[in-house]
Amino acid sequence: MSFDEFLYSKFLKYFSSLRKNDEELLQKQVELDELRPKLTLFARALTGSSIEIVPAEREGGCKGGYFFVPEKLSLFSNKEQNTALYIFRVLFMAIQWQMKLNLAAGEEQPVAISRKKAMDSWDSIGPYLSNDFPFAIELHDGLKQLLDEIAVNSKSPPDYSWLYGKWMPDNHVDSNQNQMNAPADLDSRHLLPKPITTLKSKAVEEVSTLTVDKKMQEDYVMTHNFEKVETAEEFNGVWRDFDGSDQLEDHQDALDELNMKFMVRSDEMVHSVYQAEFAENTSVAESKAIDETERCFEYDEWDYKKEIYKRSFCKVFSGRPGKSDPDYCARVMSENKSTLDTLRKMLADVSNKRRQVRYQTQGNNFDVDAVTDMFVEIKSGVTPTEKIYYSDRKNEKDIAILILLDNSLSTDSYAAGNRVIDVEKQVSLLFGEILNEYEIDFSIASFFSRTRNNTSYIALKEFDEPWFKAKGKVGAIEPNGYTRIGASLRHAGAMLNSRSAKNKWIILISDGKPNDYDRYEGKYGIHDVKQSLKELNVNNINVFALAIEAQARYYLPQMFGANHYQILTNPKEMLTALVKLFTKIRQL
Amino acid sequence: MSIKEPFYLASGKEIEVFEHASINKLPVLLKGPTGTGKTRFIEYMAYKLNRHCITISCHEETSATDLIGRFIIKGAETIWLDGPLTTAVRNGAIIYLDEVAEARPDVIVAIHSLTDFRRELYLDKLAEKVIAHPDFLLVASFNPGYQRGFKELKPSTRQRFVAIPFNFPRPEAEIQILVAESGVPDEVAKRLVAIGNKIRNLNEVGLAETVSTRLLVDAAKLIQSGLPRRLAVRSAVVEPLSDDPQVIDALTDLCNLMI
Repeated sequence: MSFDEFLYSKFLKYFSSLRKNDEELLQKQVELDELRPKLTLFARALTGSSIEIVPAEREGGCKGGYFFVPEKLSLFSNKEQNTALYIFRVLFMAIQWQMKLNLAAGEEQPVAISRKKAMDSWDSIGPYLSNDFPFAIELHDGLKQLLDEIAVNSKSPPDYSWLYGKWMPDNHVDSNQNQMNAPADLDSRHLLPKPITTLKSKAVEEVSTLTVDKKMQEDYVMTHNFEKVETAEEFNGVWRDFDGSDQLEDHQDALDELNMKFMVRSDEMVHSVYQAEFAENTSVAESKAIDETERCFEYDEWDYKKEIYKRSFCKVFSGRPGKSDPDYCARVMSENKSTLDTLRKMLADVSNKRRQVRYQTQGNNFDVDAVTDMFVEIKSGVTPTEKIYYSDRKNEKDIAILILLDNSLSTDSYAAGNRVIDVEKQVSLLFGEILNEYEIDFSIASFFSRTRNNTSYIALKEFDEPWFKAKGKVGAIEPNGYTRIGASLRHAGAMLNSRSAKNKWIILISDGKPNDYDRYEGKYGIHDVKQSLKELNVNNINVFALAIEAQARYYLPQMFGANHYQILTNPKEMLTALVKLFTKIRQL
Repeated sequence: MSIKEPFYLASGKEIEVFEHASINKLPVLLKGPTGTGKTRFIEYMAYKLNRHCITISCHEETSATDLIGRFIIKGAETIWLDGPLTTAVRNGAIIYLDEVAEARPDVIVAIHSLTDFRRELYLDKLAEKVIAHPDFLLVASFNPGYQRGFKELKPSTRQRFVAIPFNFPRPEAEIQILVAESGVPDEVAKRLVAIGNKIRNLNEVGLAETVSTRLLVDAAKLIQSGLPRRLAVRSAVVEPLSDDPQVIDALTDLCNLMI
């Protein structure tokens, strides 16, 4: 960056920060992030569908399973009124969504027309609301009046788009779209370089996926817009080369000005990630099958729309970690010694509660019922039984547990100040220590995926492997790839099937969001996971999911059902939750 | 048997199925979520068939001894005391084992001989075989979960019963139930049922249990006795469902827009 660019950007940042820190603004501003859980529940209750609330570029609208609402609102003079506007927007969109009032797929209209259409739709939505939600009319009238007051004060016409949003084209991904070749790097099972810089982008409402034109990329003609000091170029039909270098932070301000409407998929590994929260039509097609010479396991995948299995659709490669990190293990053990001792004590109390075996010829004490029987027999003139004692026996249960860790890139994020992958590793080490002490048949594995052709299942501890040999490997796993939960669960199930125990459990530690490069997400992913759980249940394998990321609340309940998942607010609770679950499993 | 006829509104052909099961002396399994009228249905059928009904709410400590009976010592004497199941078998009552999957496995073993053609109960402590009275009827209920694991009814046990499914009633029927049970005006009942159905949309989003007709009846009763509507709904419907402040907040906002 040249000196004049540097100077200008410093000035720009200074003035922007002045604007952002406006006290008065903060007093009345409501941000979507703080309201999102509530609005999501609200939208799902109203529609009965798994609606996602996502940030809009401005006033927003709805399309597909997404409700776009403003990222922040400070239109009115206090937080309550701004929150009320959010609630009204979601309510309005829920009815609009149910009545299918939107632009047709592919239809493009100027924004003024889209807003007018949304405003006019109040004539249909209003009567519906007054019938089912009588107080929504009061809310609507109040908010409209506030917008009128703003218009009077600013001497401009009222902007009702905040109230009604705009119509959006209802885009649907064509499930029969052609198959694609996934980028070469994604299908390789080697560790990819990690992004160095990740920044969150501004809101994006629509993305068009383009196929890279290699010819035009080679013929690239350099163009520049000279009116800006910092530039980042919008796509204007001219192709240029990708280089993947990390200069993201230098250009953040310019990037925020970009219209991010177009997207290409590149096989170049990047070092900067400008992360937009958008999932509607970003995955274009499923991967082509690749011929694999290496030995792999093939599993079916469930297509919920067609209600059929895609036979041998996913390839799972089972492997061992390439390296081990015994120091990590030793450090975790010494740092958590007191936690481990507390948990040992907790479990010892449970284990000491022995099972009472009745009607014994010898035992700790008289069995009152047996003694009563003996009296009956004596009175009836029958030779009395000698089995009048009860004895306490150790309650040993036949259990096999497989701990399945999600080590996709999402575990590189932080929850309550802790890196998710670190929590997973620490918890597995400590819990593994306890399971080992109780001589439980257990295995620890991690998984990540890069398309259906490549789900990696890394066995950190095999069932029959001694714990002292395996525990060094747990520390070595690093975030990598995506989360194809269905294939991983099926493979974990196959591993458990080979065990003789009667009580078999998979404990999945994940954010629970099915996600892969090739359209394994949203409803498709959720239904595949649900299907895999049904398959496991048929084989008498139970699954319990644990998560510490707040976003898991949108996914886990849909897949695992009540009583079979737990979302923790604090990573420290994870270990306690695991031990409690173990106690419950033992008592079954 | 109840002196007064319990209110029950049929949502399907469950009354006919039960009557025929009773004629043919077949055990009945009522399956469905909490608060969908299973217990009320049994009370109603007991009244209709003019039979005594003994209800046992099963829990993880419920054992076969609790149902069959036990000896007690009185002075130097040992006296046999029939359990509720034995009483029902001898006297020809309906025995209703509520949430039977929660009970210990020996309970299931104890009822096996009563669920097939034998219709007999063996009291091992008395070495006595009790042949069931012709009017004896075994009824059990359970709440099927989405995933198996912690508490379940084995398929081999389920096969021994005639099963009647229960679910939340249609809105019109549920409105009628609310009006009959609480005396609230139609308009209030309609609003409460609409709230119930919206919240039921959330059953896959983390609520362990959803709004039952029973909860709606409770809210209606509170409203009828003079509690402000929104407070009644919050206390009887929203708060019992969740302890999560965000869920309570979202549901309260939803209800406040509707009532």
